[in-house]
Amino acid sequence: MPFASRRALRPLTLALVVTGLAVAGTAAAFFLRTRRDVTTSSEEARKAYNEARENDLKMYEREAISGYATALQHDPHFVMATLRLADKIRGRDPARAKSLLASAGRSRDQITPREQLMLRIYEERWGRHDVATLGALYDEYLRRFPDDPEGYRMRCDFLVSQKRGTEALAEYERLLTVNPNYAIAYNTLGYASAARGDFAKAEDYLKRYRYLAPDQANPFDSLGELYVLVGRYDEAEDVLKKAIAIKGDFFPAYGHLGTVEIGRGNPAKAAQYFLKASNEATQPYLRLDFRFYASIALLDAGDEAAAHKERDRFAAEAAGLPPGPEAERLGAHIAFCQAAFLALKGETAGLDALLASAAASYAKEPEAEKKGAEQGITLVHGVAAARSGHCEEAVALLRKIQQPEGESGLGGTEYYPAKDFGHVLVAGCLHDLGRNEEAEKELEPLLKRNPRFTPAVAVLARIRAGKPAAEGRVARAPGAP
Amino acid sequence: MSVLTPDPSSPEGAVGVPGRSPKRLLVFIGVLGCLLAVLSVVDMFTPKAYDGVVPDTYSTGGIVVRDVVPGGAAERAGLRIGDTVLGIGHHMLNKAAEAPPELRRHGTGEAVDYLVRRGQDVFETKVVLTPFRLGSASYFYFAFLGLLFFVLGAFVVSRRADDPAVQVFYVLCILFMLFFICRLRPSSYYWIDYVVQVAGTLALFLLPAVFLHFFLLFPAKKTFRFAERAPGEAPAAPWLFALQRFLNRSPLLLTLLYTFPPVLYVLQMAGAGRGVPRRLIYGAPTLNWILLADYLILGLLALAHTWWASEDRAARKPILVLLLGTVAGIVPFVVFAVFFPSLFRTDRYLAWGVVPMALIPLTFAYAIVRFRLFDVEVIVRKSLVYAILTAVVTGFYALCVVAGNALVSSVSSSTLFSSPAFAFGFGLVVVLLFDPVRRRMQSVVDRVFFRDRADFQQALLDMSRSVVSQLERPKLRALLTSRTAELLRLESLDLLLPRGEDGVFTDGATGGAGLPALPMGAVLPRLVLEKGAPVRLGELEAWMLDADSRAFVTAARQRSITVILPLATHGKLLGLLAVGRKRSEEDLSREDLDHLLTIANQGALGLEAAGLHEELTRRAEMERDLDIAREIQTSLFPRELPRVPGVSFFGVSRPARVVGGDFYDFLEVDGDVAAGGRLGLVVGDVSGKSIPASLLMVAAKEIVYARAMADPDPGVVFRESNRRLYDIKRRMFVSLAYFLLDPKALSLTYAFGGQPTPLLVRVGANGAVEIPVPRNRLPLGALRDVPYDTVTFYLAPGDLLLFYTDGLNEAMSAEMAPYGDERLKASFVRHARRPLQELADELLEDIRQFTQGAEQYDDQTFVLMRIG
Repeated sequence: MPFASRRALRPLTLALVVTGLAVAGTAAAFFLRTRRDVTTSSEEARKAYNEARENDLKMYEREAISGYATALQHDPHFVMATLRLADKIRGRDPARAKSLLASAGRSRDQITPREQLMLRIYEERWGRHDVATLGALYDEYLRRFPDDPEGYRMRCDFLVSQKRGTEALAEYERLLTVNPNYAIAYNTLGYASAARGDFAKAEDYLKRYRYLAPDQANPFDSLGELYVLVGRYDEAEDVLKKAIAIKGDFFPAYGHLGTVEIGRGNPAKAAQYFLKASNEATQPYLRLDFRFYASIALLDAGDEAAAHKERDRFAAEAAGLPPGPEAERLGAHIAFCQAAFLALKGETAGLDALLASAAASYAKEPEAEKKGAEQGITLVHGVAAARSGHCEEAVALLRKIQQPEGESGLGGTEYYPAKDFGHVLVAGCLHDLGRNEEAEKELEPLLKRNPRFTPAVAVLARIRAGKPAAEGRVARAPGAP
Repeated sequence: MSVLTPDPSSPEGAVGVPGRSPKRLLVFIGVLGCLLAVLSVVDMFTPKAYDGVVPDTYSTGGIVVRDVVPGGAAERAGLRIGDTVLGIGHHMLNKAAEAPPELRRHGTGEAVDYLVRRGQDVFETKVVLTPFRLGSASYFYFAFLGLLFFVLGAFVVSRRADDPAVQVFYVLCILFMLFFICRLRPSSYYWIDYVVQVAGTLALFLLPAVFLHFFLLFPAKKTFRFAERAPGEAPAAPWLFALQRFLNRSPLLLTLLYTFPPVLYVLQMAGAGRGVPRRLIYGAPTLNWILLADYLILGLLALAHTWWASEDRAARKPILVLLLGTVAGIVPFVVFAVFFPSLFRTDRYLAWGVVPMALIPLTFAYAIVRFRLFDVEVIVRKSLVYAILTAVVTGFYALCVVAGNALVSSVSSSTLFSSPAFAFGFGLVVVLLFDPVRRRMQSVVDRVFFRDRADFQQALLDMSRSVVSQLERPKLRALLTSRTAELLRLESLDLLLPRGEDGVFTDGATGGAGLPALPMGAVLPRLVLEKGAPVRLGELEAWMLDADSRAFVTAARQRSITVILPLATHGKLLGLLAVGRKRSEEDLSREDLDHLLTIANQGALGLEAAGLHEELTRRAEMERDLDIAREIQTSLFPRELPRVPGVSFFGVSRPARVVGGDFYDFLEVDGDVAAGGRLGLVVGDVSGKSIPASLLMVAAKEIVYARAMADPDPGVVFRESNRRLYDIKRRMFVSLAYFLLDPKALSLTYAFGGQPTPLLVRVGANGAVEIPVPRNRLPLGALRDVPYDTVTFYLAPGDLLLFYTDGLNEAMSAEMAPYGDERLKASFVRHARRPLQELADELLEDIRQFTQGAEQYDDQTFVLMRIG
């Protein structure tokens, strides 16, 4: 009889054993999975890799690259370190990046399925870049490794690149349910919320980000950028300086301090921050951009000599690059910046040539980038028109590019508030055209978001005072480019 | 048709059949459970770093502050009710259960960064953790409940560790303890928390299975009979039979019962790992809670069915108490602690579900004390009294203090009742009154809690007295079997007693319905006698038994006999008691066996007393017989000696015992002997003694007299009398001599039938001689036809004759030496000149001196006759 045999306690013992085995098995599987997160034969390599990953997530580019390189020194066949390093240097050294990718591919059979899938993703991303294949690979990754936040993040990036911002946001939300402590996700969500005009939510996300990574500079920088966006300059300066206090070479914080000063109407001081940011930046593009921002800030500050000097310096950025597509692309960007510089000065001579040079180079790029380049050229034309007194043309051109981003993107960092200046220029032109009501309306959304944006405030004051544009500086407010 | 019925068959599975006791495992479980419980309690009452936040357990997307401990860390940090704690210590939190691991990383006094949302505002604040004892009054209550369960389980298992139902009950109590102490507790943020919470969760998974298992075993195991049909009904489907067989026979059932909850848990956790959403209540998946509720309800149904199906009125009462108590304890728990959190996502009513669970151990404790559940001996009797007494004294003290203070404070500000003098005086009073109060209290407690037991013991005592005082074997047998079986609620109780001269023990049953006869020389009675204690039938398997004993054991097992006891006194086995199962199917407890042994011992004394009584009765009857025989014999002797001219007589008869077989008598054959008629003298000796001998003597005398009247020839008289006596009584004969004295002719005509030849002393002759003897002198009645002949001997004046029976010459000395013919002759000659009476005395004196007072086995009878 089962109910009353002398072995009455045996089922209980058996249940305890089964439970114990289940718990032990789960623990063992967890332990083994933890140990097999990445494949390497060297503990030192693993340690260096993990540190590099942490720095990567903190957006400490230099340390991350150094860490991956150290890991590879300890274990030259460390596939994940190879892939990460390739990803990091791809911008500045695409050839070496491809070489590293090929090297990782040779160890395909000795790595975990997760690493194999990651390798396939990298290969597809840098190779054929077939959207459907990539999407399928990301889906497969998430299906097989639902606990890995990186899977969500990669897919989100993919969705953003496909202008599927809303889906990307949902993906990030899902990521946070899997791992609410995945700090960088809050950063992305903060930016996305800000891009959609939900600044309270953005601040919520970015404060969480800062809370989760109080020892990192980026959370403070992101929060500072948000504060800049809404005109809370003092708070912005405070948190940005905290970021710099955490990491003295964190160039984005310098860049955003420059933005703060632009907003405050201190272009000269802004130029100093931009130059500092340029000096600390690791990527050629960024160095160029910051120097460009410094040059136009100096121009705005009335220091044309210094502005020209900086323009000449950023024009030399491409000189250090080896010949090839990357140098060509950078050259196009330089041309564009030079054109913008001229436009801001109100000079049109040579403008079209520079823009044509830039457009020719961008014509080889993918459609999205090509579209971005076209908008940039329009902007430059618009600025040039505004500065040269062709207000009707300027308004038409600048409004063309003032279409809202919509739900397609997740926002992004902006060191120089070009769009805001676009609105200011349009408002100034409208005022010059006597369309004051329209001009005020043009400024209204901007000032509603950031009532302390000095160039806009100045234009609004001029509109309301009924003063015409200053001579020689058509539609130009104090501090405005 | 009932679905579940107690199974009377299958002795292996029967409740109460002792198996190998897993005592080590039980001790291990108990020690482990206690260790975990102690760890948990210590952990709860040791100060911990605490933030003072009372969270809303079910909030997600952060911890909604349901309340803040007044003056606690959270309040000092500015947290308010309604705030949402998004993160602690730079870790984001989704729900309250994630807080403990974060807080555990910090110590008391440490300032921890909290990320808080208040409305739309998100801000950071530092919360300085403060020491806090997590153990609240409610946890203290849970710990007390757990302890109550443990004490209950340990107490029961210490009494009946071999009973599977008790073992399961014990495990159930341990699991309840772990559930209360280790599961219903807040997180403590320390390593202990992991251990005890895991133990509590395990208890949660196992508890319902053990609960159900227990009520399938208790108070008797259940058997499913849903596939059985009454005669004439259509048979059930084969799959129903298969299912019934599986439920009743397969050990896999219990394994499934036990492993299902943990397997379900593992599956759910695995599903959660794959992203399948799951809901947790107190850290355990909702499905596990629902399963728990199902098991509990099934257990209750099993208990309810046991109560419903029980035909034993005495058993129904405690089961009903348990059922009501368990229902009252379990149902609120299922409703408020399982369904409310599951359906309404609130644990506000948790206490409503948990507090009534105290009824479960309390009702079990009540049933154990009140109804002797599990046959637990009530050793708590004294404890209960002292506990109540202590409570009464304490309450009385408190009352005195309160009343005294109220009284005194109304007239003065005296602190008399707070002074040590009052306590001392009160203590003195208590000491003086303690014992009288205790005695009174004991009687009250006995009346309330132990009335049945007292009644039982009184009944047992009465029966023991009756057994000892009962001298009639049939009534004694009835007392030892029927009455004892009734008192102890036994299915059967057989008494085996020796049967006559057969040398076997039998139970007295007829028609083969009882146990087989057991030879008294068999191994089993001898071993049972040597053990002198109850012997379980199972123990006999280890003994080397002979064929008779084995046959007996086999038959006993078929009759569900479980124990055999000896009835013995002074090392002598007087009988055996064969004890059947209890009607409740429980195992015979130690107390039962003690009672049975006491009854057996009393029964042995009763049997011995009955034997003595029978012997005394027999002797009394014999005495009465002897008195009657003595009267008969006395009536056979002549009242006076005949008066014959020229002849004098003297007769003596001294019986060996109370009644002798000898006789003598005179009869007048031809009318008055004084006128010269002949005189008959009969001297006889009947084989055997007492009444039959006397009666034979009477018969012989009457026959001889009757014949003698018809024909005086002694030979003829003997021949005819012999035939008659032979027909009357076989194997009993009469030694007789018949003498016919003719005073005129001085002749003596005679015939002998086995009697000694008379001695003659003639004047002038030297010594004594025997008179001539007939040829045939066999005793009368020995053979059917004996040709007795007649001899005539002529006497002379002065002749002295001694007619005697063999009691004289065969008188035995202490050394068993016979007195002998020669000594008799010598004595006769030596005293021949004396008067007859003196002569008779001297003859007897000589014999007495020879025998030296040794007991004589034959009568001494003689008649003296002197001529002239």
